[in-house]
Amino acid sequence: MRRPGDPRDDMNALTAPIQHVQPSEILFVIPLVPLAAAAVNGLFGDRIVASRGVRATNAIALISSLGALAAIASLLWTLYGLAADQRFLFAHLWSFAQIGSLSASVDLGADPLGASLACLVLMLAGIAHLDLIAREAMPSWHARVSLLAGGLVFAVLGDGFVPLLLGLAMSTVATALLAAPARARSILVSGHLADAAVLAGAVVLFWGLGGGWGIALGNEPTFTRHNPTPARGQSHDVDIDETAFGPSVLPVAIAGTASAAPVASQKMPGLRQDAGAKGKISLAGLAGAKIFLRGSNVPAATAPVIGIESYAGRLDIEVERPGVPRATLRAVDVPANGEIVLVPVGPTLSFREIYDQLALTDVTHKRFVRDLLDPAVPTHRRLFGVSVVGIAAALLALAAIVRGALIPFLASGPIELDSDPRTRALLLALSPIPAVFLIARLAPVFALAGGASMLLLVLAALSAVAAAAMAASRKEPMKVIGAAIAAQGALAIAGAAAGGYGAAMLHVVIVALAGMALILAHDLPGAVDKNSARARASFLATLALAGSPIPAFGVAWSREALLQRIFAAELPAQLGHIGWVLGVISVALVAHALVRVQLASFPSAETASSEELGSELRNALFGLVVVAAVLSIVLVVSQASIGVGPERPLYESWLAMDVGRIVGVGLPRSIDVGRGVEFGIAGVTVALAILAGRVARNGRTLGEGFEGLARTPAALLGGFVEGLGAVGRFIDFMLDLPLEIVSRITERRRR
Amino acid sequence: MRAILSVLVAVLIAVFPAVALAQTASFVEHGPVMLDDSGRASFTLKNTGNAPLHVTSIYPRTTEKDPRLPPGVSVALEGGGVKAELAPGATRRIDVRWDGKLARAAQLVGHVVVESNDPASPQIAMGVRGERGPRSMAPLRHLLSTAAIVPMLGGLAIALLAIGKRADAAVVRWVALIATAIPCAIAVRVVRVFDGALSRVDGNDGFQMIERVHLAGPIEFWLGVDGLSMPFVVLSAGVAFAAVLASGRVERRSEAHLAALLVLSGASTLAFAAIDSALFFAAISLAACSLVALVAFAGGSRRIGASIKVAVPMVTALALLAVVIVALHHQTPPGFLIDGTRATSFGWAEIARVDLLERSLGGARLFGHSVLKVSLALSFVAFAIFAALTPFHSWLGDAVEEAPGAGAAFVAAIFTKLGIYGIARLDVSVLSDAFRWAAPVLSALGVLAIAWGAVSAAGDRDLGRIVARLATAHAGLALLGLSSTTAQGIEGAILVSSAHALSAALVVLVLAYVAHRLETRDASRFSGLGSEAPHAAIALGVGVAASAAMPGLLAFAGALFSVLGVLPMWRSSALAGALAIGFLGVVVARAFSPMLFGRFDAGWRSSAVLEPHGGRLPDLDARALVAVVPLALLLVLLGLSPAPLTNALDGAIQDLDARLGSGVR
Repeated sequence: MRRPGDPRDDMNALTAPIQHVQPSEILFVIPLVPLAAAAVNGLFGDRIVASRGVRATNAIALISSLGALAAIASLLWTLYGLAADQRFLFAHLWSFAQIGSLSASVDLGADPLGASLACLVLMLAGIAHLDLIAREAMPSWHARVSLLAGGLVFAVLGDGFVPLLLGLAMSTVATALLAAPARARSILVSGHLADAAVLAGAVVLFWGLGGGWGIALGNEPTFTRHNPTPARGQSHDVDIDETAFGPSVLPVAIAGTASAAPVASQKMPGLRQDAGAKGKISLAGLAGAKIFLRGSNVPAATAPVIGIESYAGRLDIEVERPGVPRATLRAVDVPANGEIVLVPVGPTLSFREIYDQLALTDVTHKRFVRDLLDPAVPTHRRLFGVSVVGIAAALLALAAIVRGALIPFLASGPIELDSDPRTRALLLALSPIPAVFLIARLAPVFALAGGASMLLLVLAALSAVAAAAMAASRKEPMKVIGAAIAAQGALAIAGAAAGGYGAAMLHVVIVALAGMALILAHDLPGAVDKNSARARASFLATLALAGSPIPAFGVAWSREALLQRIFAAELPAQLGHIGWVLGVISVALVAHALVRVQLASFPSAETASSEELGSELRNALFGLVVVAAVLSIVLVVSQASIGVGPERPLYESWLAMDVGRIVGVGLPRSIDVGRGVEFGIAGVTVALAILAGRVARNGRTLGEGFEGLARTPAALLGGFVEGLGAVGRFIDFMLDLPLEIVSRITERRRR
Repeated sequence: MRAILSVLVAVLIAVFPAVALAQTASFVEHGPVMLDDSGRASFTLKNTGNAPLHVTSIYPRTTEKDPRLPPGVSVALEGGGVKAELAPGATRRIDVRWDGKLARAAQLVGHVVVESNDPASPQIAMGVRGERGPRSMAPLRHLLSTAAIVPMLGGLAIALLAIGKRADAAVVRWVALIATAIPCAIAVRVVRVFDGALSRVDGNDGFQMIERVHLAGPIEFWLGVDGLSMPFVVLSAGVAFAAVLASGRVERRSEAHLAALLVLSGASTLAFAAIDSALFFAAISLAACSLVALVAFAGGSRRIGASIKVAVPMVTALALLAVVIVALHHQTPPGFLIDGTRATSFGWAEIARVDLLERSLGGARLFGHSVLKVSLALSFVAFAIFAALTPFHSWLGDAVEEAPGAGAAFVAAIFTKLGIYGIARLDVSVLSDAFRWAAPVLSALGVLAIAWGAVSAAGDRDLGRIVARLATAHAGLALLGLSSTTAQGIEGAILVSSAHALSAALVVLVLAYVAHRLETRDASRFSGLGSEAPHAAIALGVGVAASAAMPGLLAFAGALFSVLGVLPMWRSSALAGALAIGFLGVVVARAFSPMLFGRFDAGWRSSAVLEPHGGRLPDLDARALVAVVPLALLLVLLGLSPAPLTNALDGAIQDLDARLGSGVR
């Protein structure tokens, strides 16, 4: 018997412009192939080398990487061919667990964000494998690279917190294995901290959504205790035989899509999203109507989402489970030529379902799920007096800070790596990806909780300056490059925090490729011949990484877009401006440091005096000023020339996160600061670059100071743990004392 | 005249009571009767008195609200009907029929009750047992008892061989291996036939694979498994086998060690499978004694002192537990044992049927306070000692440090789970109202144990003690989940405990293997294990990562569900618990990363310790690999998809959720 006030009574008419899902049959291959290669090379690599030679393990590593790359490329092509609001390929891998109303699955979802990043990761992994092959590395190194790539791909393609955490955990282990032994501890510690923060954030968010289904939308733990718990064998006055599903029936909302008017359902009882259900779901609607239940398009599939064409004027859903009677949902009218999607509503750990539920509106057109989280709504949910979404966003921001190696975890990132250069290149290139992904993927959460974005922006901008200053002060080329990449990565994170997801993604891609090329080029011993291909590649990579304002290099777009995003961020606006200044300074310092390294790599640098070197630097910077001036014009032109839609460059359109659709509050979606301001930005950037270059060259103490500061948090954490351990030893000793005395006395008597 | 006769008869009755008219209902057969393959059985009711016996009702002892039996059981007198009159000395057959198609349960274990005008026993009962479909072979009907008794017999055999000075090392090892392999094979069978969705509404109080025999007095040899106990029964058998397999030939005092370990494992299995609380107490007492014996007879140089430090808390815990079980038994109304004897059962389910809250409110006292609350307090302390929860955790460090590798692995992995299982079985399932009342405090204690385990581990360099501290932390995590009283939290607690059983066994076995050869447990001496002994490092890495609740391993799922479950109930504890789990991970990463990723101390390569191993840290041999690889695989596979385990808990969790959510039924 349904109780009065059952929250499902309020589910009568829920609608939302929810995400279309296209099932994909090859999506699962993309992360699993590198992981399988890692397992084979890691566990049996030596035996394979002994029996079939090193070529076999090389082939396994390279083919797996390139195969996965080809697969993701084809998916990207498929995505590109779809309408912007339908770019989501989905694959259900397995059901993680179902307890009560908690249903967690390991699903993959490829949207432009995840697919682009997966493509980048696999591309870099392929380069790393090629480098390892050239250096005749052991199969275990291939295995580590494959594990890192597979883990990250799993994380960025994962549709939910569970696959995200699984992927991040794998990448942490792989990073620890790739890094130098001395660094493994801090990598593991920081990785665990980040995972714990994501876990805690997910839990809080889950509760924020799940607890919201209480009778009065209060803080009651509704998802377990207050749900009806009918005993088996009793009948109910609802159409579905709830007894077949136990106490944990998820409500179902009916959501229309753009092509069909939202349908106010009749009283819709629950349908459990149960991957274990052997089901047949038979649906009926007007001719031409389509009805989807999330999961797959195979009618007899065991996956939770099933979509079927319908032919009659009714919608009947039947689910059969072994040993329990058939359950039937009440008929619902389906409009002709329309589409209806049944969305399980309730606590979830799936990103896509969180998005959909945040977008759901009820009959009064309120986004009632979103309102539970929105601090601007008086009835929003709180934990310890703080909004739930604020806590969740703070925890997720902490994870992004640790994963992105921002202040105060600067030293745990690539800036301090001293591992083998071939692996360092990969680690450096990949380092900003998890942080930028976290921010972009959970953009709706960050949008609702502005404070976390503000914190991220400030810390990322400060980290960019610190890393850039360290780059400017360092002498060893590889360490300079490492710090430069870290600075650029931090800038990308700052841009993502300001809402520039597309720009941040593009920046990450360019920095990763350029940084890797630069490191691999500089790894070879001896000076570089100016006329060699390597020198040219190195020079191009330097220009790209340094933020060279030449349109041929994508960084020209991404850097400018990032800085503009940061400038326009309203977190509040003054903060955005400060972040912009810091970002510009970091860009300038990186440019200075990298040009210095580039010049020092040539034979002339070995013999040139410091004055001559300084002179060359000034010349180089002057050259940059000239080019920058040209770029400023090109940049403005390019907005129109390659933009898709009004003033939206291609990458913005491709990677745009439509946060407004999901949560109804917007981050700035397009920058419209005016042509004059853009010219101003470009000019000030160049001026600051010159100024910062001089400051850095003359005062390296700034960078050296940052070096010391960067190591302080790790030292403090270590001291804290040691100190606690000492206290623990003492109290344990005191607790143990009575038993120890008893045992000593007994032993003495026995003797 | 009539009056005179009446008085005469009355006098005769008073003087010669033996000839008084009385009707006595009894059964000709001894219970329980067994159903045949078609689900039918008959037994005979006899009026052994000298007056007519009016049978007023015959029915299976089950109701819709309290489904003791699976559905489909019908009872009737021969020729139909449930009422009859039996003349003195007359008999009447009673037919029982079970239509197994209507039931989910594969077994039927219960009673048929006959009500009559017998003044001495208005209700008598006949035990009925049966199986759905054809009866299985006899050994398959005694899976649990075999799994519990065979190791104990093996231990006894080894002890006798040792006493008789005939303990050849090879024979002892083979006996131990066989005595643990049989339960392990049974565990596989148990997993295959166990129905996770079966719950209390399906009859038999939600238990499966039931064995029930009347021993003496009100005590029964009553075994069975439900979702709460099945994982532990399986883990107990599996870990014992892995421990014996991995121990090889390098353990000190092999005979005493293996004899005590076998008895310990058998007693633990018996305790997990016991449905009768008195049998549970006997089994857990035997397990505690064998633990003390393990440390005292097979321990290292400090074994006597350590055994005393283990014995004192164990004796305390058992005394407290005895008080609670007797007190609860005292509150339980009389019922029927399996053979139909009318007595007050010690069964968990029978005690759970008592509305202890109402009795406590009605004045039932223990030591002057509410029997419910005092029982909870005493039993919680007892089980906290077994689980090594803070502040009762110090004994575990001594036990793990002193016991040989296989024994230490079993103690850290399984013996501590007796405490967690006890809390789930008695405190959560039986003393539900009191548990709800104490849940906020218990959740805080859980957080304290997690934090304290992590802090203590941070200050230790002895690997044995670090493992013991981690066990305390995981016990705290399990308590945190249980204290949520939500389905997610309780299921998380079982997952955490299962994960820790696997990870602790894995870590201790690997460390013991290497430590025994290095003659040290100093963590700093293991630096570089990853490069020197890759197999050992991989196995250790999986176990360590599970201890840190790393995503992808089973402990992560447990931690996730525990925190998810506790958050709606006790927010402060949930947040503090999450922080404590994070800190635990940091401590574990700091403690073990030098072993897994660090550099080997090259100066040590030429030392006398490493000389027998070719100057390298010793790697696992094939035998040890066979023992630890399944543990690691289970951690990974169940970590990637804990659904097989959570599905097995469904029925039990549903029952607990209903009980905790709506009060005692």
